[in-house]
Amino acid sequence: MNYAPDQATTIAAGRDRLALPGVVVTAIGLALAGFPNGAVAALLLALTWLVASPSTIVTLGAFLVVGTGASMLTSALAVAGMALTLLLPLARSSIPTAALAATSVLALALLGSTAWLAATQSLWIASGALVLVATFIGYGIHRYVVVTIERQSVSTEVKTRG
Amino acid sequence: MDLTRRGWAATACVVALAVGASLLASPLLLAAGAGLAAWFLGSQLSFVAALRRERNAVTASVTGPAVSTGVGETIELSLTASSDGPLPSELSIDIPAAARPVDDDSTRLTLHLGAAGDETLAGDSVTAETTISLECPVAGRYRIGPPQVTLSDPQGLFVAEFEASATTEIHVRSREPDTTHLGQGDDRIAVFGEHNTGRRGPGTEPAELRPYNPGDDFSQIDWNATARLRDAYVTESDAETDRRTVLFVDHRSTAEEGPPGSTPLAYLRYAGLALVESARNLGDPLGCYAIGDEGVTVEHPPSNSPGQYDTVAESIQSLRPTEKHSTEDARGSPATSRSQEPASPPSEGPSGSISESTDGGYSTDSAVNATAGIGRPANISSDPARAAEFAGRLSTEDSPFANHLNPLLDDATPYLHRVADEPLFQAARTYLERLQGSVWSVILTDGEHPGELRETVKLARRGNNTVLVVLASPTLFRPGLTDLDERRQTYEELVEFANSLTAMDRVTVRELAPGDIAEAVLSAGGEQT
Repeated sequence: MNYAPDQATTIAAGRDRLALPGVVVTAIGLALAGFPNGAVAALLLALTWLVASPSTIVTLGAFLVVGTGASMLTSALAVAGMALTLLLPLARSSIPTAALAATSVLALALLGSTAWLAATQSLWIASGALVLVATFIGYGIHRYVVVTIERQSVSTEVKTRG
Repeated sequence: MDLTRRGWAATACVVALAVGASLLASPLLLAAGAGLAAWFLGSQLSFVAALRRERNAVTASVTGPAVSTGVGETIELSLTASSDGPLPSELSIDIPAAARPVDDDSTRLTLHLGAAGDETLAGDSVTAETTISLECPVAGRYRIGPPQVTLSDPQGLFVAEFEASATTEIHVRSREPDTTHLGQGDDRIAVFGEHNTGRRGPGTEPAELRPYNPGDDFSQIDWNATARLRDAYVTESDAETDRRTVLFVDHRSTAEEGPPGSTPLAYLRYAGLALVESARNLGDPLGCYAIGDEGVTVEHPPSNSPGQYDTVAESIQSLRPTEKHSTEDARGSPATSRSQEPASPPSEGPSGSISESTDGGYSTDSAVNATAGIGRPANISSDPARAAEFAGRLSTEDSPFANHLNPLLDDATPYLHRVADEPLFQAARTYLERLQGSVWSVILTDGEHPGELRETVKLARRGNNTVLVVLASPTLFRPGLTDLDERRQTYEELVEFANSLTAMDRVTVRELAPGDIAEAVLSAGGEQT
């Protein structure tokens, strides 16, 4: 799927169509966690979809799963929904398969390393390392773009009428 | 590459999940944080890959007018862009500060590639164009561009900006005559000539050799010629003299015919400035008197002091056609004359008040200066042209101060000396009588008062003085070429009148007109004959 300008405008204000299946699955997982807390959490997540981006929905969903004390099964369903919420909008990228592959590889690497750090060290160290590593990689990519792409001009032509 | 607000929000979410995992001791939150960070970095990598591919897929061009345009004319500026890639793009160009859009107040010309609702398929080329109408009130060359190209991540997390090198240049020319006819009848003269005395005498330009006569100064002997010709010869030079040049610039209301910038007065100003430059180059003392409908508006007695030429040039540039009032009003009277008496009693005080000037009149200069924000000394009443300019600026303001003063400034032309009838003749009589020695009088006029002009020429050529009359007849300034026969007839009458003036000794007459109109009128005459 390719970019459509009106779609970009819409997703900036929420209501991302591609994130909707993931939100539904997450909401079901939360609702199954128990009544009334799970149902209220599911409703809150659905309302969040109306106004927020997928990253915000996933963050809120993670806190709600922890807060509702969901069982392992319902938690797994909610986590699967959150993964869909993030991954499905990647189809909007100019190279969807590359985006999906990069995200999967990075996810495996980050999840594996943080899980190892949490198991061998502590959650504090694992959390700090995650933030530091993500910041380092993100800033490195930013500098790469500035130096190699942004400082070059696009192809142009000069015209005069007549 | 920069983060958008959405990108920053995603970053904050990762941090919040990491902090929450630590505080709540929840591995699930840490896993969510790691997954979100991976998604964020994956999106970033995907965007970089698209940028690398699409950097050369955007083509931009800026198109301006091919020919120069005049001040105040509308300029169409177009920005065209095309893209082969799927990333949403936006191109924008800053509009020069000296140009203003005709329809709105925007300072940027922005173009979005792809209309809302379009599905852009990879490999498809999208082209878009936008145009803006600009108006440049200031002459000059304006460089437009380069456009700023902004590419956005489809997820809305990142943007990247490039600077395209497409530029264009707009040339806005000033409102000064660009084609000029200067001549007499069908004879065209391109430039003003230099003067000489017509006598032999001391000077620097060798004129001729003549045999030595007893009594000649030995220093005059040309030894080379003497050796060559085997007899004593002396070299004579053209005598050089300082000749006073006095300009009489007629800027009465009749000199307003034609479009702005192409009126008889505009051309007369142009000629006057050329004469000022000529006098400056020759070092001649220069004087200038400007004549309005009711008297003299500018008075600069002849002088060759260093600042004189600039002062005269500035005064000539500031000249505007005066307004003609009824004879009764004109004679009337000092009571209605702003330069003679104000409508309300003057009050002493700082800037912002009407103060009494040294010549017995009253000056609003300090007040106008204060309004115009010009930090000049308050007393500029000796320069009516500047006073008129400031009064013009004040008339466009909407402030209590301006509203209070504007009724007093209805006639923005302050007259130094009011003359009810024949102001040109009276001015020439008054000022030429004060001058002694050789005077070259240059009368720059539209020729709408032939009787008065003839008498003025007669007066100016007295005492072996020479006169140049530059005629800018309004007939040759009317826009359009529909009534050529009528114009030709009027033009022939003008030529007849000019010939009658030229018949007088030491009088030269030149006609001044827009080159294209003059050519058409002269051609019309040629076809008829």
